[in-house]
Amino acid sequence: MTERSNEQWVDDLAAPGEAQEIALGDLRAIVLRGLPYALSKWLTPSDPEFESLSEEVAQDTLLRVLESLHTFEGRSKFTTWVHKIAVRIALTELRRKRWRDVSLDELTENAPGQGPLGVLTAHVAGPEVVAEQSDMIAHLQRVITEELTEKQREALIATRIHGMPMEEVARRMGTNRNALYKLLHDARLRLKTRLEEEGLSPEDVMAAFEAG
Amino acid sequence: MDRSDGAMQKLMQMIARTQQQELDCGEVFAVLDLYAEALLAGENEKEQFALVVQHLDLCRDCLEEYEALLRVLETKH
Repeated sequence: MTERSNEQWVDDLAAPGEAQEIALGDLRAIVLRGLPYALSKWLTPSDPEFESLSEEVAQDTLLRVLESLHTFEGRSKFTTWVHKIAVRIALTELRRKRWRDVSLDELTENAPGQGPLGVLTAHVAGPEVVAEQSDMIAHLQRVITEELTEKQREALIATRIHGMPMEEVARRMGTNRNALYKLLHDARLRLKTRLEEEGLSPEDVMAAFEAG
Repeated sequence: MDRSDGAMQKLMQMIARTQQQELDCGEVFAVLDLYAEALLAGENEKEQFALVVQHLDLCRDCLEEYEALLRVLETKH
């Protein structure tokens, strides 16, 4: 395989023809070599789904590379840029498969006997909850209810309590990852501001739960 | 299965780390390759990319992608 500079990669890929074909073949091999390392936290090459996932990721990556070739600024190595795209595609697909059968409702609906925020504050303290702590819990629940929208509470519970990936939550909410991040950022800012207004630091709150 | 252990603590930690200005996932993705290369080159990447660091502290998905990219790059093949 020829070593290419950034400029050579872009030149070869820029227009259909033999040079592009060869470059795409080389790029495909590069992506496939990297995927076992990218996915090692979740899958190994001996897992049955590994091969078809890799093929799918390699194909989609090449398409994305061609589509966004004009956005490559040359500030990193071309292959680094391509690996970044491949990793994003691979993990997005893996998460989609893993969470396919999970609905947002089943994660965010109330557990029996709990209000909508019970899940956020249940089991924070041990079975004997000191009066101060239960006051703090009630207070926090009130703050959360007053400061956040329904959507924000849902998003918080799904991402933070249940670890649902951003894109999975976003899709179910009819939005996208960036908008979801902004929604959560806004939620955090509101809670932070409100606590500051009350003279409560996050550390104060945490300390209240550690004591006793 | 109890999934809410430490949920309030984690929420408070997140609130403590929250800043007025934060990058969104797209903005972080745009420079993730630069950040990874800076780290591997031993540059002062945490200073240069302070907002990226801050986002990665708060966004598990982006952090996973970043770590996966590092694994690929660190294995020189």
